Amino acid sequence: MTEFLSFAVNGLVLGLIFAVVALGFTLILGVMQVINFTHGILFAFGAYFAFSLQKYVGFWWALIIAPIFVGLIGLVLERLVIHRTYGGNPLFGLLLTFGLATALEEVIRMVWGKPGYSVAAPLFAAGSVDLGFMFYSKYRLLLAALTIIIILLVWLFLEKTPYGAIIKAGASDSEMMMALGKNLPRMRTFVFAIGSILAGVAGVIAAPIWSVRPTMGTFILMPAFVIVVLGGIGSFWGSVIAGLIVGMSTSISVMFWPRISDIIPYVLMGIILLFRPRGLMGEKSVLEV
Amino acid sequence: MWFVFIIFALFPYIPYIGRYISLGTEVILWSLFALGFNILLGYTGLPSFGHGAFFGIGAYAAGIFFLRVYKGLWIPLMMSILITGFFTALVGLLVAKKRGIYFALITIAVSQVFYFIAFRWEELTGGETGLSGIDRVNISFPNLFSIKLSTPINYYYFVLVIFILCTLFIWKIVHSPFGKVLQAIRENEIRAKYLGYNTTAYKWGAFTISGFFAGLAGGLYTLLINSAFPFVLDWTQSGNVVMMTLLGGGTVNFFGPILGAAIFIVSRDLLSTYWESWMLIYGLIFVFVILFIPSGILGLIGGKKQTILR
Amino acid sequence: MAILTTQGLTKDFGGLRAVDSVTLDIGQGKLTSVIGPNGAGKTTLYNLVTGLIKPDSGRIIFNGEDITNLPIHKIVKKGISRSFQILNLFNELTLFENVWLGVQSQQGHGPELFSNPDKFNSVKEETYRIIREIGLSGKEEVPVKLLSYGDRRILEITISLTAKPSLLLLDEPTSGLVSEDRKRISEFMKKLSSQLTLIVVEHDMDVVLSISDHIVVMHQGKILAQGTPDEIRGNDKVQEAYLGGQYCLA
Repeated sequence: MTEFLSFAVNGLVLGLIFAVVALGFTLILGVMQVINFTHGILFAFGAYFAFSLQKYVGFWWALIIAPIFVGLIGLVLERLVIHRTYGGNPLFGLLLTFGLATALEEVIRMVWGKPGYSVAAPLFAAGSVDLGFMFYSKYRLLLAALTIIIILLVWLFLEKTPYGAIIKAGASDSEMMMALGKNLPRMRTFVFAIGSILAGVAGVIAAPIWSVRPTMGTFILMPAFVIVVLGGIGSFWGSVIAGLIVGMSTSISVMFWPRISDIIPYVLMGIILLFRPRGLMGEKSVLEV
Repeated sequence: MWFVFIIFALFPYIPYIGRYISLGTEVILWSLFALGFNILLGYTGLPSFGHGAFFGIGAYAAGIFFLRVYKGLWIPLMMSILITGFFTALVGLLVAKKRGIYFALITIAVSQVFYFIAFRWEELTGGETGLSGIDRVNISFPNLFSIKLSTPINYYYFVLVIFILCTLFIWKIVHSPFGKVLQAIRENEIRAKYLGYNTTAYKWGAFTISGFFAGLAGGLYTLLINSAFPFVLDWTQSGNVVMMTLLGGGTVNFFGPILGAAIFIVSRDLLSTYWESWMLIYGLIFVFVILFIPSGILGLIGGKKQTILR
Repeated sequence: MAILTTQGLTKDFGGLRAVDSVTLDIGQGKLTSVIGPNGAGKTTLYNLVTGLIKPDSGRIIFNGEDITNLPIHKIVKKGISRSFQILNLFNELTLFENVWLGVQSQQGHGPELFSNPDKFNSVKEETYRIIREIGLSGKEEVPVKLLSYGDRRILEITISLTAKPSLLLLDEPTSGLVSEDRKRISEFMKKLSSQLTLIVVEHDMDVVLSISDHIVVMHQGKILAQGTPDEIRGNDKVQEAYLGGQYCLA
């Protein structure tokens, strides 16, 4: 029973990371209709920056600085190249970000080398804690707490600030955003930067429990796709709930039938799409027309 | 068109570059894949980013049949086509009503499922290590003669003949009434519906037909490298075929995919030989093409006259 | 005799009821105009009848047959066709190709994979004939996006006719046209109405009053009134709905 619990809780933790990544992805997809392949690489950059920085500034500062770097990278990418594909054939945005992701993955290899690294959990969070019904890794609990805070912050931003409200509306209906005027290019850059920061933060936090490798970006991107489609493009709660579902199901299926654990998210997605073609919480989608 | 065939036919005899026969074979079979794919992308306007999966299914089908059922030539290849066709038809039912981003996303997701199946179902596919020992058997006409396909140059011409037949086939299809309707769908699907065309059925048709050619190309590839590995299914293959098609100008010209395949395969080979970090350039080429020559090379050369495929 | 009947047709978009329990009979062979202020639900009604969107409740009966949930292409094949308020043509294709696609469909050649469409003489001849009839001979090879707006409006109606419908729905066919072009379209519609049943959404009251056999007035998704041009002209409710608007029914 404790084994099952530990898989389940691991699944929740995994799901929380997925949720943060998916949130960034779905905002970009909803607002700009761009399937952002670089999202995975930005996640990887987060982890790599954390790896390099932690030696010098420790865990907490790395947690703050690394995502900012990642956000900057995202900003540069968006301002320089990505914004040119808005409004055109969706395939172009996809291919462009695909090309960028491939190139950037190689950059990671060139800078940090090919083999993977282990990032140790910070000392204060190492080891396990006795929860009463089970022992659990302290770090994972910290991870859960941090991701929940981040998700809360994003929620507060989208729900309680006027700027956030426009973005939230724009994520499920970008025509709405254009109608609401404001400086559209700047808003889009902002959304991309936020998305990038979310990916980066997730990377920093996930680094100790994930092996830090050049291909880790790809590993997170695929589930992100599935989560976003399953949860509904542009939907906050859709990403969070779907992220948790995917995280849990992946983890639990590892326990029972490891071989299909990779495919479980897709199967779930397929089933949900049959009954709700827009995902669990998707709304009217400009993307279908 | 005949110009293209002649160049390919003479290729092995061209000094220096003619030596790279296997590379040439690879160019031809990718051209085949891309031409078939362009029925979907260029003519119908549907952005599938998961066709690598169908290439891979064809590749594995040939390999699995060769190793476990019948060590022949035609039957494994037939199976490549039929089994891939089957799966494409199935997937086509799922995606035929979709367009744009949703279409692209679902094709990505589906192709990942196939990738994982190939990776994990070890009994069938050999898992991570894949399948090997898939030989090229002789073509024999009893009592007459036998052609040894295991020699590179013979296989090259074998693939070329198949390519020529398929190209003619595809040409016929895209210039048929069916092909005209596909273009109408690309230009204005709603209007096409209002003219009485069952556009979903046509989209499904285009999808399935492109799948057949993807599978055939995959099977030919397995025979080329005498093995089948999971990488034939991964999304870089999907990205590759889209890139070749666009790079050469598939959105404005029938032959675009062929040019694109040639340039792509050759450059990739050159780059990877001379620089370990060639993936950087590879990625940047994608970026460059999308930003500066989205209509591809033939689009650039054709100028303003050719804005859409006919 | 009603060629088309709707029963209690209703459609909601989010909180907005675009079409509210519309029950309507369209007389065969007649020209019925549908008028009303913007947002009255006229285009939505068209979208429902032709299958572009599904009603939340109600039925649509055409020639005695229930076509409520049929897809667009099936409805077209049954004999209903429609033109759009915002031009909906194949802009990058030539005039010839635009008409040709419609004729090809009507003559049943669509799904053929191996025929040579250049050999379809009956399709070609019919296409040239149609282009001649609408007075655009000589412009066959011009990409539609380069044609004049008036020509494109005529094409918008013509392309809907290639399906040889028995019921044609026109959505603001004179929208944006200058007065000679309006007359041109108006006469075209009169000619058409002798051959098939027409429903026309229009804002130009001169046109409406001069060509209609029957007028339906819509307002906020409901039918406000219907009747002959004289009846509508004298109807107070209708005058009220248009008060302050651009329409003078005097």
